[in-house]
Amino acid sequence: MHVPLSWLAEFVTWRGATAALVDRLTMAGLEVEGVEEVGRLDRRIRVGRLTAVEAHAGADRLQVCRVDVGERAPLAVVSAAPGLAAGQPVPVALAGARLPGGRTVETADFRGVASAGLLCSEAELDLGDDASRVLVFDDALAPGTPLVELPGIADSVVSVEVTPNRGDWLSILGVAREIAAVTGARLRHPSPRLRERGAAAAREVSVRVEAPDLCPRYCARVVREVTIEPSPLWLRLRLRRAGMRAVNGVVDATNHVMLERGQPLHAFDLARVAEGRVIVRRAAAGERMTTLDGVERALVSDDLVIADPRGPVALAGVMGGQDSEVAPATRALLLESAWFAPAAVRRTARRTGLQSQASYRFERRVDPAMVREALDCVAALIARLAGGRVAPGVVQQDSGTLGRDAPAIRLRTARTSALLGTGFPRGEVARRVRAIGARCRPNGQGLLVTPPSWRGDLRIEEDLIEEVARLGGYDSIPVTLPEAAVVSGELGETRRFSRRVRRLLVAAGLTEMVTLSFTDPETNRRLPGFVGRDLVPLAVKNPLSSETGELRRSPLSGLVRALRTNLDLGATFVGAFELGKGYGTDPGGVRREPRAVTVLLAGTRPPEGLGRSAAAVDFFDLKGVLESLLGGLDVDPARVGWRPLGEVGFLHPGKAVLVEVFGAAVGCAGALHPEIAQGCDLPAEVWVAELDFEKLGAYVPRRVAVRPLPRFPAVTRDLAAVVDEAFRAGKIIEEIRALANPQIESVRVFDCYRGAPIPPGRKSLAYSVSYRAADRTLTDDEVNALHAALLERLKTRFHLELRV
Amino acid sequence: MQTELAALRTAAVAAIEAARTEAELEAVRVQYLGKKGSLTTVVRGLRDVPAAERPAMGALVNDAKQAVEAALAGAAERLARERLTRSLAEERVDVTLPGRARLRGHVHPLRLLEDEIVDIFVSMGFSVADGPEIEDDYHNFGALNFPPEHPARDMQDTLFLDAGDDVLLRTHTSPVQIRVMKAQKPPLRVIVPGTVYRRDELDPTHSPMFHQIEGFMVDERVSFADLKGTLTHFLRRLFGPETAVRFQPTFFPFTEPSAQIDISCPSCAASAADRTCRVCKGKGWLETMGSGMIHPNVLRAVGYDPEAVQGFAFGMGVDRIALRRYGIGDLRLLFDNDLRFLAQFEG
Repeated sequence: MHVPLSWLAEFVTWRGATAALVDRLTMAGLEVEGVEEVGRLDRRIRVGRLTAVEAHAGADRLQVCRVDVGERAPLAVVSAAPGLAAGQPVPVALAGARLPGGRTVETADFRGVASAGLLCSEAELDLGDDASRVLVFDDALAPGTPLVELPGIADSVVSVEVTPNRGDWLSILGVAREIAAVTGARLRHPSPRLRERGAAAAREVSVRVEAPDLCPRYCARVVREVTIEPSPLWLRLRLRRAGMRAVNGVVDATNHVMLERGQPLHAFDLARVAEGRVIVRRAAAGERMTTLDGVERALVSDDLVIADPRGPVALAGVMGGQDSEVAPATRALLLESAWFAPAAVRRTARRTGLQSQASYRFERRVDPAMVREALDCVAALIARLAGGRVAPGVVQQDSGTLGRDAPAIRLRTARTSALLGTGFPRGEVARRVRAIGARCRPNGQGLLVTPPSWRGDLRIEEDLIEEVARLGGYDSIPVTLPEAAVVSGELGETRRFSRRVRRLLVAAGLTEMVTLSFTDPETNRRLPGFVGRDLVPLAVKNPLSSETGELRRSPLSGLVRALRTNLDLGATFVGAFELGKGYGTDPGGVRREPRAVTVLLAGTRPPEGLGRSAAAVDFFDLKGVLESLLGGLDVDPARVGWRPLGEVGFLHPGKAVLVEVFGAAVGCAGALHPEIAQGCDLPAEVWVAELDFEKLGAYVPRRVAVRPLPRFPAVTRDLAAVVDEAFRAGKIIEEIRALANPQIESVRVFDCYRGAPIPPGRKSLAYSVSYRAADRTLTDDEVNALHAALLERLKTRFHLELRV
Repeated sequence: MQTELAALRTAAVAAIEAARTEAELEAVRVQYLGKKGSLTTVVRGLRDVPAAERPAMGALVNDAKQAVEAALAGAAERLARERLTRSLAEERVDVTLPGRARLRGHVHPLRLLEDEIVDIFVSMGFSVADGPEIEDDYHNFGALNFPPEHPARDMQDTLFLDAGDDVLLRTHTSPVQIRVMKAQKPPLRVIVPGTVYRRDELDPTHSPMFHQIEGFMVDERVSFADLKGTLTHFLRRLFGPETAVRFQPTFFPFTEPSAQIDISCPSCAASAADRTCRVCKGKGWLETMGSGMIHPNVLRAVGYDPEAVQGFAFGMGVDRIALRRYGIGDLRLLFDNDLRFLAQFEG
């Protein structure tokens, strides 16, 4: 909300710098977002009085004006503006004056006539929107007065952010009350002075509330003989600075009172309210009405409407109807001031998307005691501005329930001190509570407090304790540390494990990414990942775009997208991982969000140094990452299985592996299916892996004991086998491991060779076997015997052509 | 024989000293002490010397052999020294050529910061808890004292899921408060890092997904003064001991009293706020956390007696703190995953 300080000053006097006021308000919880200085017009912009307006001899559309600017001789100013007449007080920017837009006025020659300045429109002075004509002041003003000296022109506008609990701050009066409460300044709260004339309002108007639960109080007045004209400058200026547009005198008056006192008001053209009968009721389902913005709306039975016997004339608290709108021909008004239930107004405003200044205030609860006062204020203001005559009497219906549901609140001194952590004497508590306008009386060891009518947010003891703390400033509450038993904080298993995985993947040279949990339905369908393979995608009901249409089943969709981004930015190598989640519904209909370790490699590994060339990333880079991860997690490589995966949809069927730990599938890895890669406009080979975080964690040894170091040397023997291309190298390793011979320490593949002299379609695999005994040095003869037995076994098992 | 021996010895020592390379020296060694070397032959010849002369002769021969060996050793050492001197003088590495690069990985800045914050709280006795990101209205709003149709719900524009009436993506980490308090009894000190969602477009200051760290402490006597002390301590550890901290009233449905916590602007110092400061927009303060005493309605919702226990709760946005800490001007950088950006963070 925007608070012009000149307006505020009518309600409370603040002696001090604006910065100090800003600080006090902020520390009271009314956060100031900024202070804008407005209307600081150049002093060379003055009030001028037109003494003569004559046609320019040499130009049809120009006029030569004589302007009295308080100096000895009038100035000659050339203007093309319409509607100029002698006697009008107008703003004149003299040569050299700088206009708010930044332009500097200069003397100019218009076809032989020198112009000494510029007659300004309100738009040129940033005092309004109208740029079509010269601003004409409403009152006779002394020629020569700098505009900046006129009341209400120069001002400071404080923007405050009002929290949803403090609807009472949404008015000048409300902010003034707060200043009075926190500074002790005296609040001025003038009552409206109203002169009623003519026939009683009740003779023309009746009110019937059929939904007292949603509208417990409805008041109406009648003002006759109004003239619909633009409002005076001071009023337009106030609305502008408070952030509202001027419309006409009547609408501006309702807005002025709303901004000043917080009560939204509505003016109907009385002639267009059939029979003057106002009916406040729920809409009938299927009923329709056209709101002020010209949109025809279908209503639902939740909507509260103001109707006449023919049908709805306004959406209560939200927006008026087009049919009953105040128009230039309007002569009599029906003014409405009411208290509508916050939830009902909010429902209708949200459903229709019509969030107005009125609905904003009603949603945050208006002061029930202000309903009648604001009605009198606006009637008085309209009578003053639009020359109307206020009909005697208020036509109203009141259910009598408002305010009854708010019993006095017990406020214990001991409770106040315990919650805030510092002692407060009862007298001080009472003083602070009274400062916010509450009534209170002693009650046992505390007080019985009745909050003021405008503070609907004060309902329980803690609400009052906050007021006590707030009024003294939170700064005055001491800073202590809790007296509590010493306890050790626990990072927890999940977090400890994810830190370990992160450290290992970073050490493997990968960069961690954090990608959005959303994806589009098409990508989600194609990229289930490992953790999401059995999940049904979850759609977002109210997405902002199709890119956020569904929750991803696998973090893979995010990494693939990040790959695209990086390739577009010129990256040649992407090595990334994410510790994220997949989301979806399992076959049993249960919502799941499994954690995953997802890895992506693509492009060309940068060369390690001179003389070493860059190499395209391949399967073995990916497998190496996973091996170093599993190794770092102390998983025995002998307990890790790498099974060809075959058809899994999102991976290349010939380049996919299922990763098993202790026989359980924990994830999969391989090349992204070429069709998917193409669909995402990615390079041919994108290597991805996804491990199920929970499963991985479950199979990782909890504690690793140190193995004793060998005391005797190992002896290695190599073997080579020429096999068919389809023969998997791992079979020989599995076979050797299956022997479970304690003297075979390890076996590894150290070469895979294709080409002459090996015939096409075949390859040579070379293995190195390490033999070692725990209790002695093996002799050559022993090793030879072991190796020979091993070769024999492999030969018979696989019918191999072995070379030693 | 003695004369022959003396001549042999002199010749050998001379040849040894004349050797200029280790190969020449080796040739000399072979010539005299090899299997068929001349000195070896003499040694072998001792067998033919009469037994009576043999000891005297033997001593002489041994003497000669030792002298030659000593000369050989001396020459070998000399030559090795010369070789070292030569290699030190000749061998040069161009130290300005690049090193052999290892792939270096990096941790995402959000995780770096999250770990740092979590570790501070763990050191203060808080334990980490987690909860689901897919939540229901009750845990995200209802139990946290957001009445239906209350404007407080507008503060958190929600993404709903197509999975039943009130299934949504949690808008804050506070639902975990409810879950933990329902499962455990006080005293509690809990910290909850997590991903949260709001219905916002990704732009320089908003994201549909971001990160919060929530915390709470419940005990018999934990007070607002304790809240101030605990969080002041935390903020000074995170932002430095000189950081000024201020608490100002604000509104959250789930706390009463509620406090917004600001820290002094690290760029321009709150005491002398620089009106042109771009970090704090001239305010001198930066809004950093929300906090408050847990609302009695929340305590009741989890089955606690508000007359018997009380506590405070707090929360902060990790992403916004990351922007400030690392001088990042655009929130989208955190989610674009541009490797040129990520590579600037530690591995």
